[in-house]
Amino acid sequence: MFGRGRKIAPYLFISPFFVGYAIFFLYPVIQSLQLSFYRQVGLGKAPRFIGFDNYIRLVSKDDLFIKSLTNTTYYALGSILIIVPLALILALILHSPKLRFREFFRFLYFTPNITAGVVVGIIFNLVFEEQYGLINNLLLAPLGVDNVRWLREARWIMPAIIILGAWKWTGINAIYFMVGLQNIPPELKEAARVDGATRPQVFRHVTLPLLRPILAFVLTIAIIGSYNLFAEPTILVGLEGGPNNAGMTMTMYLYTRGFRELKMGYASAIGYSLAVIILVLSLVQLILIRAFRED
Amino acid sequence: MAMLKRKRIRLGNRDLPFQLVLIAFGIVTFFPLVLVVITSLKSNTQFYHNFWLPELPFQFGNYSSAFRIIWRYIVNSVIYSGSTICLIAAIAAVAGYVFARFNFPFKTVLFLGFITLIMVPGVLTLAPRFVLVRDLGLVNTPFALISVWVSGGLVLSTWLMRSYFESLPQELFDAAYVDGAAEWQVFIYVSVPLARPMIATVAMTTLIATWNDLIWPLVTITDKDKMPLALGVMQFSSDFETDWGTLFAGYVISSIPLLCVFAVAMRQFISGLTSGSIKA
Repeated sequence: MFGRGRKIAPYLFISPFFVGYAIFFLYPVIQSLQLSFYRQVGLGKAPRFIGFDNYIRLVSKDDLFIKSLTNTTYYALGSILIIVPLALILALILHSPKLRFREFFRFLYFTPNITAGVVVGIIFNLVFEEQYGLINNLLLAPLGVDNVRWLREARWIMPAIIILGAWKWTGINAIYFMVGLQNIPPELKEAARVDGATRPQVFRHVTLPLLRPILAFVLTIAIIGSYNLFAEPTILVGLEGGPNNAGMTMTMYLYTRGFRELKMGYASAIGYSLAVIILVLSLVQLILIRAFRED
Repeated sequence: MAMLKRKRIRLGNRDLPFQLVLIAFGIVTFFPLVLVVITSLKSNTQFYHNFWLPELPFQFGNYSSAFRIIWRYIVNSVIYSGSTICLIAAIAAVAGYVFARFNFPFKTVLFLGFITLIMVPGVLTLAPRFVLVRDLGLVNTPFALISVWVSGGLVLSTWLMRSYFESLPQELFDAAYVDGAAEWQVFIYVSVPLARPMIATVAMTTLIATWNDLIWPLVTITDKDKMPLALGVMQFSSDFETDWGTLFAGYVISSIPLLCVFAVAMRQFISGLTSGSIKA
């Protein structure tokens, strides 16, 4: 079957990949771009071309869009500055050769990641509950700190969501880092130790540079994941994002406009803005990581 | 937890602080989940009486009443995610193999073109995808979920498969060609068995992504009987809003399938990740 058709065979065999991809991925991507230049309210109505109006309105007149952008960026920063370093520390400890029950810990830290978003949301309603909740009762009360109104007060909502994010994502990121640590030949570290480097120096000049590819991967996933955040805040504080929309992320906003109010054109414009933000941030991040190369 | 089996704990002094950090982390990670189990065994009176400590007698009846509702969603999710995984594994293995081992015009351009689009967030296409699926008459059918999940997951999976097949040494294939094997035989009898760890990894990532996907089913499946687990649990939450024990028993039941799969397959998953996938 390959003999005569050797030239077309490769195309034939990747065609299922292309067809599925083209119909349900590529086509909607293009369609979405087109839709974002139209005004379409309701599903049956004819769209009307309005050029860049949707985008202009987003940036200049839509406070809720700016709000959701700020909230989402707040979360993304939290995830990059808190969750990723935490995961790295955890991975370094887990990687230590003498550690017992490594498999057990690994599985333990992985469990939040495979718990459904709805369940996570409900669990954290108990964790953040004002009067009886875990954090206020078990952690803050013994320290003499007054009850924090986690989900009722605008300024505490994003920190609460970041805590939830840390709980959910630290483990899997630690596992990615562990994979990276396993790929570093131990001889390199030993050589550095023999040359008189201290533990922190070995980390700074041997481990960290060699972890760069994994770091880039983890950060990219963190950025994409942050800007796609939907299930947990929705369950925790509702689609409107709680008091003063403090917990409304961009995807929640897109969903509200697109599927509650059926403004498909406007929702597509939100989606494209989101895509551009993710693309730019991922690229900037990759360039930064390159700039910090040792050599 | 089988790994805990009666190993004696001996701690070196230097490792003690590290172990403590790990254990503290472990408690923080696991306690909320334990809380769910505790709550699932309470009646409403017990729940309001004491929020976060277990109380006798345990209400095991909560589990049977929750299971009566939840089992349908679990079956649905197994069917939806199962078909998605099979399709993705098959298509990505073939496409990845072809991309890795054949040379044909526009290969790199084609591949890079598709990989770049991996950055596109799923919600971007939510609106047009919904219109497309509705126009095809797929709303409220399994195909609404499977088609979109397959096409969405294919990119990353094909990428992973391709980098895996590229990393296999040429000699493995040469031996088979010398023995007179046809290309498809090389693929089925040599490449696929070798790629098992990576196929497992692809299956796992697909499983997590589809099993817990909420937003797409929320848009396309409104028929209660056809909801996948993630959405069904949400429906279940509003149906049982006041019956805390049953509600949480439902949550426990809904978490069990993935926990089991991962307890068994964690090692395969990690080994797939280690074998050069992320380096690509």
